[in-house]
Order: sequence, then C-alpha cells, then structure tokens
Amino acid sequence: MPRGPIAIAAGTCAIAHGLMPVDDLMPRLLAGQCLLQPRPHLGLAAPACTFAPAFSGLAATTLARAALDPLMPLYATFTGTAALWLASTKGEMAPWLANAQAPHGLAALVANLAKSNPGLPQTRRLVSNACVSSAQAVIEAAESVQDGEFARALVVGADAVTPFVAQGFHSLQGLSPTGARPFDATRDGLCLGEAGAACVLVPAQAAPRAPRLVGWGASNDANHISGPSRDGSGLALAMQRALAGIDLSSIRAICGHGTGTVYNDAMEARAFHAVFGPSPPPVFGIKGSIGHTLGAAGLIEVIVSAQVATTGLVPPTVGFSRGEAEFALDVVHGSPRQLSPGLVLTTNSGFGGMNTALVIAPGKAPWPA
Amino acid sequence: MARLIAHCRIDAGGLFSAGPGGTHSATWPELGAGVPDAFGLPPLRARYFFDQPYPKFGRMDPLCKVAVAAAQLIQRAGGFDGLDRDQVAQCGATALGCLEVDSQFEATRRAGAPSPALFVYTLPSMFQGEIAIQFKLRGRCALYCCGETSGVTALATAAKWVDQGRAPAVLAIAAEAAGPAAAAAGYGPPQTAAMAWLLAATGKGPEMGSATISETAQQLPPGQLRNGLTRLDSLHNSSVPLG
Repeated sequence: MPRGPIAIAAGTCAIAHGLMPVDDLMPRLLAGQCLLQPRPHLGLAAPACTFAPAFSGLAATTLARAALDPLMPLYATFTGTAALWLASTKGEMAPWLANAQAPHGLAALVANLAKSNPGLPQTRRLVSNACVSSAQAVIEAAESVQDGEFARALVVGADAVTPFVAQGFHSLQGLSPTGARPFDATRDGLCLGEAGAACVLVPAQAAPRAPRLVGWGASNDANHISGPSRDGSGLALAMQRALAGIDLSSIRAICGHGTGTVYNDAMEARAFHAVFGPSPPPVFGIKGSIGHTLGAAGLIEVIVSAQVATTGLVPPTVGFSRGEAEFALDVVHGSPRQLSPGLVLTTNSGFGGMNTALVIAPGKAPWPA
Repeated sequence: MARLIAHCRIDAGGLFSAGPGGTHSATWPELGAGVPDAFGLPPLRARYFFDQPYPKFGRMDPLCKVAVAAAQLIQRAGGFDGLDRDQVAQCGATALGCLEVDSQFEATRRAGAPSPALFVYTLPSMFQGEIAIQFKLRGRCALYCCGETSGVTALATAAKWVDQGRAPAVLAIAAEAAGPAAAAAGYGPPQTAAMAWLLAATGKGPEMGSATISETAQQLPPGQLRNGLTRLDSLHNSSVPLG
C-alpha cells in the first residue's frame, strides 16, 4: 500500500525573548542575529555561552506550553483519533533537583503538561533519545498517522537549561567559551539553548497548503557512546534511508545539526559528502543563533526547514566565517540566500550514536497561515 | 506480521532466555552472584553473561548494565544469527530512566566536581547506544518513557515496525534500574529488571501482532514487575495467543 506524505499543519517554537513563533523567529535568523547571551548563575567555572536571560529559570513545562498552547485551536480544527508525542532529554528537572522526593524529569514533564492542559489527547507517548529526541518523535508521530493508527498527532519537544545540564556539558569540555560556530574552521564547542517547540501532523490531504514530510530515516553509529563516528557513516545511513526514492538533485538545502563541536560538524560534513558527492547542497545551521536546544532542537529545525522549503530563503549560519578546506561545504553565511522553493533535508545526531534525517517538501506560502 | 525470534528476562529470580539456540536459565546463586538487594538484583558482573572480558561493562550505569545483559542473553540464544545487523532496530522502554545515575551525578555536582563519566549516562537512551556498540546494531532507535505503559508501548511499537516494513528486525527491551533515588521519589515498588524480545519479519516463532499486544495487555493484571515493565510478565505468561 503506498504511503502518503504527512503535512506539518502548523509549527511553533518558544525561545528567548518570549514566545517566538516561527514567523517571528525566521526574521531574526534571516538577519543573522545571535540570541545567545551569558547566563552566569549556572555555576560554570569558566565563561560559557548559555541562553537566555528572558527565560532564565523557566521550567521545561513553561517552554513546552508556550509552544503548545497557541497550536491547540488549530489542532482542534482537525478531527479523529489523536496522540500527543512528547520529546525531551531531561524533562522537568528543577523540582527534583530541589527535592529528591519530587517527581523526576521526564515523568514530571508529562504530568505537568497533562495537568495544565486538559485538552491534550489521552494517548501520550514520550520519546527520549538524546539530542535527536524531537526529530525521532516527529518520525514516530508521522508513522502513526501514515499507518492510520491516529488521524492527527501533536508533537512537543522541550528542554530547559539547568545547572545539572550546563555543568554536565562543561565537565565534558563540550561548551564553547566564545560562542557556537557551526561548521567553522575555528569552532570550539556548543552553546546550550532552551526552548519548546510544537507541531501538528495530519495526512497531507487534510492540510493541502502545508509543508510535508516526504522522507525520514534513523540509524545508530554503533561506534562510541558520547562521540560521533569519525567517518559519518552512521548519519549517512540515516540520510540514505530518508532519501530513498528521492532524486538527490532535488534537495535544495541541508539544515545541519551543526552543534559547533569539532567532531560533530566534521562527521556531518563527511556524511554529506558520502551521500551527495563532492558538491552537497548548501548547508545552514541555526545553533549559532539560538544555541543547542537539546530535546527541542530537532523539531525547531523541522519547523525552520519547512519555512525554508516553502520560501526558498535560507538563513545565514551565525558564527560561520571560514570553513575547512578538507570538507568543502557550501555553508550559507553572512546574509540569507534566496533559492527556489524545494526539498530541504534536516539532520540531527546525539549521544548514544543516534542519527535522524527528515526530508521536507514546501507548502504554499505563507506558512504557517 | 512480526515473529518472535528470541526473548529473555532478568529479575530477582535470575535469568532466562529462549531462542533458536535453545533455552537457558540460571538463578543468581548458580551464577555465583550475591543475594539480590532490596531493589531486586545482586550487583551485576559481566562474567554472569559474557564469555569474554568486557571491561566497559563495569563502568556502565545500572540501567545500561541490565539492558546490555538482556541483549547479550538474546545474542546467546542465537537471536541475532543470520540477521543484517545494519538493519536491526531498537525500541526501548523505561519509566525510571536514569534516575539513579542522575542522583549520583548530582551529588558530584553539588560537591563541586561534576563527573563526566557519570554525566554521559544521564540520558535514559544510553543503553541503546551501548547495545548498538556491543552488538553492532545500526538500525533506528526509539526509547519510550511513558510510565507504566512504557514496556507495552515499546513492544507493540516494535511489532508495528516489523509489520509495517519499517524495520526487518527489532530488539525491544524494557529495563529499569532502581535504587535509593527511586525509593525516595516514591516509585513503588522500585525493582531492577529487564525483559527483551527480538522480533523479525521472517522466522519460525509465533506471530506477535501490535494491536493484539496492546489489547491483550489492557485486560491483564499488572504482574510482578512494575514501572516500565508493568504487564509485560503477565503478557508473556498469558494464555492469550500474541499473534
């Protein structure tokens, strides 16, 4: 039985400076704004960029709701069986960190959301797969709609920056002291971000103007527990699965995971070359602007990629100025680049060797309406 | 329809596995292990499960240990024989997740020396990464953390992946690592245990349908194992055909 594409009927994200729907975020990304600012209270011994004063101390639940609540009216316009797919790496940690008898992380996030929003579907599934969590949740949700298990799916990804997470990454020497520079030759680490993101997935015929998920794939490196494979073969495998049956020349741009760490970005570059040959499509990344939002990152990048697919306008990669000759990537930087609307590939990778890749086809602008 | 290739269980009574390579069971005293602690298992050692030295096992957090041990029981039962391991997916489940190692890492953080060795295990899906490395499984991974429905959801999803052609073979593992942190947080009764099933599109084992798993589980009592393993042992022991 042929499987139809899945429409991303709407998408929102909530990051620093208050709720920032994709319509508000995109102009900032296109303007090349860096929204990262120092956040000293996390107790890091050395300077490290984290994000962001406007949401300092906000709970993961708050971030999730800030993205989810505006979507609920549109979600309600679709009918039929429904499921909520949550994604997070750590969930709601702050109460448990303050009191070990409080509900812990992921369970607390699910309970908090259910309590605060009685309109949520009764079927609630939380997917936690490190930094591909929300990309994997999109895949799981899309398949559940495609297979007819549910008529509509809400997907929500959220993670907050706590001292637990920030000091953990710092202990791994993963944080940049100077700012994330995805794919740049001088990159020296990631910047943490915090965000919530949400989208509504339905069969394409139910939202014919919306961008569509037309391919996806996932894989495991089977190589190292906290580092990416050096050769990029794991991510390449996920990309090949996502791109099966798709003409590679139809991919207009790639939204890379682009954390700004030395090994991740090199691994991604090798994977792009392995799949596309010596001249991969233009690459961009948004973590130099909004930071690495962990369990929300994949979904935010799906939403941004849907916008890019629809308008053809690719945001510059904040922090990038000069690439590595070895990888020869065409990284969009400095100013936005206008391409013709078309397919956008978005990739994510995470601890435990997880990789995901999704292919997004354009909707009819403007999106979201 | 997905077919059951191999399955296993690790709990307070010991371990059990069955697959193309035969069945195997042992109690903890038979393995030379100590007495199970208040949370269900004795301290796990690699030699209870592996024939070859596996130094990394000792550095893993308790959740990874019990889940990797379950995967090894599947391997020893011949479950992975003949499969293209690049295509073998993992669908996992846990309710407690990495609560115990979170507590240990937090103690190091509060002491002013956050441990990177502990921090890497503060993601509940790390056991899927360790299994992927040890058994060279490069298929897709998803970890479900849905309270007491986690295990049934993961098993039903694994069957669905096979049935829908999303993956030719899926290792479904439900695992919990319990300890003082779980007890403090009010999870009850917190038990360390794991159950695993290897499902594949081809094979001689019984059929396991996704919808049948979900519908059958709803009619069964919670069973002896709780949290993310709730109803899994009831499901396994039920006389209701799974296919």
